Amino acid sequence: MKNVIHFGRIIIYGILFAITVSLYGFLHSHLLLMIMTLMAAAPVLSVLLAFYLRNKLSVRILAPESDVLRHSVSYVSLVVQNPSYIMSLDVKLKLHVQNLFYHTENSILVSLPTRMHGDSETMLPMRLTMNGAVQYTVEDLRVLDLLGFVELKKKVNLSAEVNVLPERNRKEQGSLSDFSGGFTETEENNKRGNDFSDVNDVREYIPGDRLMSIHWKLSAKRDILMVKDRVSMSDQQMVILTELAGSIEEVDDTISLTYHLCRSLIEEKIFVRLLWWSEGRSEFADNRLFSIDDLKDAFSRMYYDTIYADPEKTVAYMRSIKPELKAYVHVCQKEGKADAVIVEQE
Amino acid sequence: MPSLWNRNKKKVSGIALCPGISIDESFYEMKEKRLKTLFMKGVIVYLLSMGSIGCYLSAMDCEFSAITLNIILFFSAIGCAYLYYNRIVENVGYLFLFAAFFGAAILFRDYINSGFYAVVNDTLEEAAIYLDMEGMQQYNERISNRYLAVTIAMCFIGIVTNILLNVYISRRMQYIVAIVVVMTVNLVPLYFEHEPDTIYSLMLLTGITLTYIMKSGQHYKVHTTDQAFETDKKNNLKYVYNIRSVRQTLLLGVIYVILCVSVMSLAFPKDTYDGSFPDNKYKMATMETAANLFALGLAGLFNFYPNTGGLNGGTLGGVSSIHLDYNTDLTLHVTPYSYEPIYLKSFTGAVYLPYTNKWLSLSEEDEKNNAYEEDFLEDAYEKHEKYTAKGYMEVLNVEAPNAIYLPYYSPDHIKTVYYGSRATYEYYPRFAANTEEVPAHDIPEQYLDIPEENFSVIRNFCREAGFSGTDDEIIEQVAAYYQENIPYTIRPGATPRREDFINYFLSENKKGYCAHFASAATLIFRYMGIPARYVEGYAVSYNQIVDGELLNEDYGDYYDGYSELGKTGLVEVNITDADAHAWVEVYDDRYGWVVVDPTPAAGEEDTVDFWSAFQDFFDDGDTDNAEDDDQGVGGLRIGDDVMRIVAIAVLSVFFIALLILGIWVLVPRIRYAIAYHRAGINDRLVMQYNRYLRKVRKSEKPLQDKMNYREQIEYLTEQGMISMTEEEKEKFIDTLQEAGFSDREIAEADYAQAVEYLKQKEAKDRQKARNKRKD
Repeated sequence: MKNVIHFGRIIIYGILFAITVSLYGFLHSHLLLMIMTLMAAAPVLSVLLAFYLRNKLSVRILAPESDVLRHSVSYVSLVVQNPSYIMSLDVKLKLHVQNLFYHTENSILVSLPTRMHGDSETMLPMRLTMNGAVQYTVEDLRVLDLLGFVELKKKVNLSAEVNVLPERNRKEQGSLSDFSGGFTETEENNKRGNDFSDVNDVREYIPGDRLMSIHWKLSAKRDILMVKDRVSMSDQQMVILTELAGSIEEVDDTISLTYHLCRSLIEEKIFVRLLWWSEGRSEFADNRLFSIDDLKDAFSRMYYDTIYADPEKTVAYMRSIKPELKAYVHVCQKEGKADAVIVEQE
Repeated sequence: MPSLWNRNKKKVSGIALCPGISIDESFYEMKEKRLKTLFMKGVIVYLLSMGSIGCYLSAMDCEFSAITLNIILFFSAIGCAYLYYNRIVENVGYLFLFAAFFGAAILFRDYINSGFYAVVNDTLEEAAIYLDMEGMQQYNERISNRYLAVTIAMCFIGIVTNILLNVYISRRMQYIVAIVVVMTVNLVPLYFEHEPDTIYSLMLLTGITLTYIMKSGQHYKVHTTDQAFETDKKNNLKYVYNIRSVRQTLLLGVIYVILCVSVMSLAFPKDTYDGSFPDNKYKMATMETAANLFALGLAGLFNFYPNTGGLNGGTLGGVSSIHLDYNTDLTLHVTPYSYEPIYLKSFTGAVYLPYTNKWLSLSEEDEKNNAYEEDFLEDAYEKHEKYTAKGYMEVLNVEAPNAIYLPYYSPDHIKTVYYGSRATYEYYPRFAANTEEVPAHDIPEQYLDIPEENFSVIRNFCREAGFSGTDDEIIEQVAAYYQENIPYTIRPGATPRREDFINYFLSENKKGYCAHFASAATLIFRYMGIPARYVEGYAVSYNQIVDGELLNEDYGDYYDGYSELGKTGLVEVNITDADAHAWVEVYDDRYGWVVVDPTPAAGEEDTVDFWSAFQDFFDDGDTDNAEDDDQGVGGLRIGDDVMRIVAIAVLSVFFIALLILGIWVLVPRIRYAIAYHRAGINDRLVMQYNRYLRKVRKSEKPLQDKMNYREQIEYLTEQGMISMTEEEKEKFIDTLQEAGFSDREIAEADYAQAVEYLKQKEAKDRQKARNKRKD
């Protein structure tokens, strides 16, 4: 790691020193001798102190909140720890900011004052307007000596991460055309007393079976009580497949809608299976969500996957890899905005 | 339309880092502690200005009140720095400052002028000594008390320096300009091998060092908004100014400078540097030019000599002091003949113009020719009478004005001696032993005139002095009175505007130099009935003549006749400005116009400390009277006026401090109230919560480590500062997070509930206090 030398400042200082020496030679003044001494000693001392300070300085980076909502402000704390009794007016931290999900990144220099024997902290309020895992990394620190001649670098590489989740109160919730229709039917069934399940088998009555499960018609024919063995259809109908395809804005929109849907269902105490195509592992990531925390965990995992270009492949993959799922909600881009579409698999 | 308050506030926006990630604009809400940072800048400016002025004055041995100057410069430097608090303060402040400065400059103009000239004159004196010059033309100091004048003048120069430096330091930390401003003038004493006092050297060096370090550190800018951070073109973040770092830099700078200076002073003591080095050839080469420059100003560089020879042609006043110029004005070849001084008459004043403060001649013929006396003495000489003589004086004009320099008594009253040329005057001296009387002749009645404006003052003066008797007795009495009661000083102070020169001298100032004594004596003699006229010229004393260079022991061509000194020789005498003089000619019935020199011998100049001089200033300078002497026994005595001024000053400082304190306390509250008033419901809750948190954090240190709302609320509930159920807690946290991080407005009810929680602690504290009182 190369240090930076500011030749311009050194030259100006050299000129000033030369003028002082010339004046001293001309006037032989004690005051000028003092100035000459100060000027001669200062660069050596300044650079030595900068080397010493560079070795002593350490950095901490903190992101106090691990999960933040999109469009909200979260804080990143940069702390320069200085145990020495030397201060610097200019310590720069190279801060690398990256969204691991969308692979967008940038670096900036943050210049901080560094007081002697103590911590100097600066809180950066970050406004995060896209979902994803945001990683803040302090790559190096650079100490400028007091006279501004050299900038000494030190490798740091410390990181802090924040998961950005879609905001709770989403104003534009996208289109829920198909999903809303299907879901309303489900609700209505529940209200009528149906349990939104399917008959898997018919068997003889076992004490304890619910009366409403008795298959009266068959029982009359066979003269023995027969009951319909029901299997819950929830795991089939509340499967949500989110599409991580398209531009980063499209994907951001899609996963926001996904998050909103999942959260709404979980708050309604409905079990949700969240699926997405993991491009890295070439399989569907399958997450069973019982609570909001499960949802957050699922999104945290999602953020380490990558987005892809082809939006059509996941439906085909579903058909071939998970044919047992008779229907699922496909959250994807439709007509330029996120939509939830119910897909029934034959 | 933006309000005046907001007009200069730059609208800030967030800093986009990459898609979806930006630094929020609230980042700029972090404020620089501007009052404190400006204070530190003020300290740097103070170190530079005080160091610079202190170095110069101490090197030049100019006496001044160090405490007063330090206090004035410190507060003015801090005040100047505070002008950059914001645009309004800057604009209004500069107007106020310039108005105040202008007013004070008008009020103290004489002191500023005089003090400045005093320093310049001291510099010229040092130049004269170092450059081995015979004498220097010095500037007139209006104020006799140099200590006070120098202090006041330096205060003003210091304030100007502060204003100037403040522009370059507070805004741009221009160390080159600072170095040029503070160091250039200090090269002058260094040129004369005069070193400044160490304390001022330390101040100067510390100031320069800090300016350089601050510039190199790159964090010194003053913005229109007091935001703590700024961005560059590449969106890099830069803190603007940090008080703690600057304070520590100041400390480091001071330690470094003290350490270096101490070590070097031990190794190379300052004393060994005072002229111990042989001058180098380069410096030697500059000395002639420097001598010309110091003697004649910029004109000296062009070989232009505007010397007036110390004669004013009858113009009085406007001059506070005499500065001896030892340059040779005239060279005189003369044969000594008497113990009495030789007077060379150049100007004769007959009519005094009061308030204009000027003597006018009647006519050239009448003024410069003592024709009757000369004729009488010439006749006596021709007749070889006893105690008569005839001589010739050769006058060479070296640097004097083109004028007649007529010895007593000479017929050559039309011989003007031009610059660089010489003239020979024939003369017939009158000896005291010569008692022969000159035939009486008419004299113009103007020689008895006293201007109306002066009459009462002269009358009162003569009555008080009790002059009476014959003409000779009166002349003696006047001279004696002068000698006993009116001190001679070369720094009597200038006659104030709208005052008459003679009236002011006799009734108020009561001190002066030859022009004062001669002018007043002329009118006094006239009042007492003795015709008199005012004369200017050169007076060459016997000692001066004796010290002159002997040119030739054979003086036959130059002198013939009686001599009080017996056999002498031809002597060359250099006449300088120091020999310029004013005297009186009175008309004696027996001897015609005779010279009367009423000017008393010079005494020691008084030296006073600053505060007594200050008192003197407010007491109109009347400190030499008997009352003061009676009361001045056994300790410090300060007049009521001074006490009143001190009291006003103390009260002013107190109220200013109170005002600053009030502003310090009130401004954040007002700003909070304005911001609160403008804020939406979310921001209001956040503001109230932050305010509450700041208050609680003072007593609850662990709370300082709690970074988010959840941790903070959990801590507060654990500590019992806020009482609520788990469900309420969750809701409260949700409300806070929504208020802090979301664009959606929280519900009024949630806001009210949250505020209630925050008020719990205050209620508890009040209850606790009530219980304590009951106990």
